[in-house]
Parts: sequence; C-alpha cells; structure tokens
Amino acid sequence: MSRWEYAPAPESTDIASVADTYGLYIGGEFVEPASGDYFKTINPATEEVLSAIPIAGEVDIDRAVGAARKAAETWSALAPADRSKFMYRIARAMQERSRELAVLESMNGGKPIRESRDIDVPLAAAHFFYYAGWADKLEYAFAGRTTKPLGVCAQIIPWNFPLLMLA
Amino acid sequence: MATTAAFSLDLVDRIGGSVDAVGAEERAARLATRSIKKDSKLWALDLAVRCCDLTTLEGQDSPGKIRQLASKAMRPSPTDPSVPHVAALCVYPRLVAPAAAALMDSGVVVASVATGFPSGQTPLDLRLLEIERAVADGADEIDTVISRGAFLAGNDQTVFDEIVASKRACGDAHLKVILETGELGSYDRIRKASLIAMAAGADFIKTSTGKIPIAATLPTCLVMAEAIRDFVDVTGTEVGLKVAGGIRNSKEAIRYLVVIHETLGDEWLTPDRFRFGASSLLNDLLMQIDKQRKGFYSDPDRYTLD
Repeated sequence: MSRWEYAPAPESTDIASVADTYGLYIGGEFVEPASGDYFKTINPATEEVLSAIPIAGEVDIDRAVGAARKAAETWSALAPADRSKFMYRIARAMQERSRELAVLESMNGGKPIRESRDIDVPLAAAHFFYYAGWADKLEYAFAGRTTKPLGVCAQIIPWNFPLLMLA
Repeated sequence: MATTAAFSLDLVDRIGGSVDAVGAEERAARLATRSIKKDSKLWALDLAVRCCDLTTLEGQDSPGKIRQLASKAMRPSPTDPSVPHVAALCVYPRLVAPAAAALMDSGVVVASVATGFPSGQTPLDLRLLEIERAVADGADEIDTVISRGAFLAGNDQTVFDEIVASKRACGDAHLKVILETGELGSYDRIRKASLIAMAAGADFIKTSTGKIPIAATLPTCLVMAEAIRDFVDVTGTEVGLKVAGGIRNSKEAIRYLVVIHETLGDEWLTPDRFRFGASSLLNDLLMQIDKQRKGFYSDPDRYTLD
C-alpha cells in the first residue's frame, strides 16, 4: 500500500578505506608491538572485521613516552606562531576529510552517522582550532606568570569518542 | 445542555501528560531533515494532493469562483488525468450550495467552516444554526473553531460542551475542530485542547484558521499527533489531523507527512486521517509532480492562478 521510503544517507562506507592491520605510531612511524599481540576491531552494525589493532604493553608505552619527550624538546622550542600553524593545519585537514572520518567513526564505534558527522568530527576540529588560537597568546593570558609546557602525558581513550578525546 | 458525548471531560486528565517544548522542537527539526526521493517522493506528492482540502475563505469569494475551484479540485491537472482529485473543497457556509452542485458525486467532498469562523465570537445558538444550515446545504465536513477565550480562562467544560453540541448539530457530517494553536500560547495547552476536542467527539483536530500570523508549525503538528496517538492508545478511537495555514510548498508538505509517518504510522497517511488545509500548496505540488516525471521545471504560468 504505502511506498514510503527514506533515501539512504549520502555517506557510504565505500569512501573510507581501512588497512588489514595497523601498528603503534611511535617516533613518526608505525611499529609492531613488543608482544606481537593484536586484537580485531569489528563494525558493530555488520559484525564484519575491520582491522587488527596492536595491544600495547609496558615496553611499548616506555618507548612511546621516550619518543614523545624527545619530540617535545623540538616542539616547545618552536615559536608560538609556528606551533599554531601546525595545529591549524591539523584542524583544517580534519575538516577537509571530515566525511571520511565520520564514516570511520561510525563503522568503528557503531554510533549513528548523524552523531559522528554533526558532533564528533566537527567538535574535534574545533578543539584544534581553539588551541591553535591560544598558542601565541599564552604569554599575555596569565598576568605576572610565565607559562611553560607540562610535558608528555599519556591517555587511555575510551571507545565512544576516540577522535574527540584525542583532540 | 444535554451532553451525549462518547467520553467525559475526565478523560483529558486521565490521559494527561505534558510537552517538553525544547524536545518537541528538536525532534521536529530532526524529522525535517529526513529525505524522500524518486518513487517515494512521487508517491508522497500524490498523497499530498489526495490529502488536500483546497480552501478559499475570502470575502470576495463568489459562486463563480467556487465553480472554478471545484473543477480544479476534481481535476487538479487538466492535462494529466493520473493526478488524483483532492480530498475536499473548503468554503464559507454561504457557498456550500454552489460547491455541492459543482462537485456532485466526484469523490471530492464539501467542507465548510462554521461557528463564527475565524473568531468563534458569536452566540452559541447562532453557531449551531450555522452548522445545521451548512449541513442542510450539502456540506460533508464542518470545520469549527473552539472558544479560545473560554479555554484560556480555564473553562474547559464550556469548550467541551460546545464541541459536543457542535458534533450533534453536524449529524452525519464529519466534525473538524480548529484549536487555533497560535492563540493558545504553549505546547502544553495545545496538547490539552487537542485532548478536550477528541474527548468531546471531534473526528479531526485542526491546527489553525489561517487567519492569524502564527499558523501550523512542524512542532505543533508533532505535539497534536502525539496527543492523537495517546488518545488512540487509551480509547481505541481514531482521530484525524489537519494542518492548515502557511503551508505553501511541497517541501514543507512532505515534512509534515514525515512527522505523521514517524508519530502515527502508515495508517495515518490517508485522506481519511490526515489533511492539508491550503490554497497555494496545490499548484506547487503539481509543479513538483511534473518536475519529478519530466526531469525539469515547467513555467509557473502553466498552472492556474486560483
């Protein structure tokens, strides 16, 4: 009787490509975990395996923190305006590929595309824009104080907002 | 006044409930983004034509204009017989007779406003007489207004009794009750007025007269549809919904259909349960149907003015 059907969302899973396996990103390159252990991540909507993700252990974390500490020296020596340029670039790259990132977030986390497309990804980009804007203003932001970096910090990212938590 | 209502006013409190205004607006806004394309869109446009109450409520209306509109109601697109006829032609009581004569047994019914439309500020006996005369002249459906003054003053019983009396005056004709939601001030009151009208025996509840600036809106439609859903849950009596005023193009019309579909389901996507009260909407629907079939827009001058 009724021919009431909604058109499919313009976002399709075809636009995102996922490799079979990923490494740990340490010191600017993807490396295997010391343990050699991986776990599978699935698309909750289809239960299809998306990729294999390494399980990081203590050794890996020590290596990552070490690499990050070394990088932080160069990073904090940069002029504030240059630091903000890098961060603006990240924010813009995120916006340019927002549809792809949103599809990936939905495939990985199982949340509706509306949520990842309208909230998670734009908000993640907005965070980078926000902090990029602060980089060259920190000197004036706190009267009578000099700001200095806190150093490397480690985060455990929950499953439900991976990209946003990173930002 | 003897009431022979199907339900009593207590039912309104028994169903009760209140409306989360922000939630209703957000939900309506979200439903407005659902997209209908291709075959489904053509089906939706066809449905919107079938659900149209082609309306003319002007001081300048004449029997001649009614005859002209009647032919449009029966055959909206003169060159394309596959376009269905509209549901009803909606006129002032004085013009019911010419409308009924022109429409005959075409399937398009005659709807008439009555009860001192649009303000409802005439004595009750005159309002009821107006209904009886319109029905006697051949009206199949009667669009009445509620006494907003009484409702806003808290005299729910008066409003209820007047609708019960109107229903009796209608006889076999269908009763549509206009709440004039733009004058009620809050979604909670719109919900309450909807429940009062349904408990008093309305066959349809209708948003607006179209005579004040605030007419039908999507959230209002949602709130009334939810009231109908709750009423049906408790009583099992199915009531229709008519949205009227300010709906001028197909895009808006389809959004209303989405709200109805998502709130009341497929069974309400029929002229027996849902209506648009509109004058200029029909031409836009015809244009969109042509566009959907031919792939390009026709010149607006190819459609009749009224």
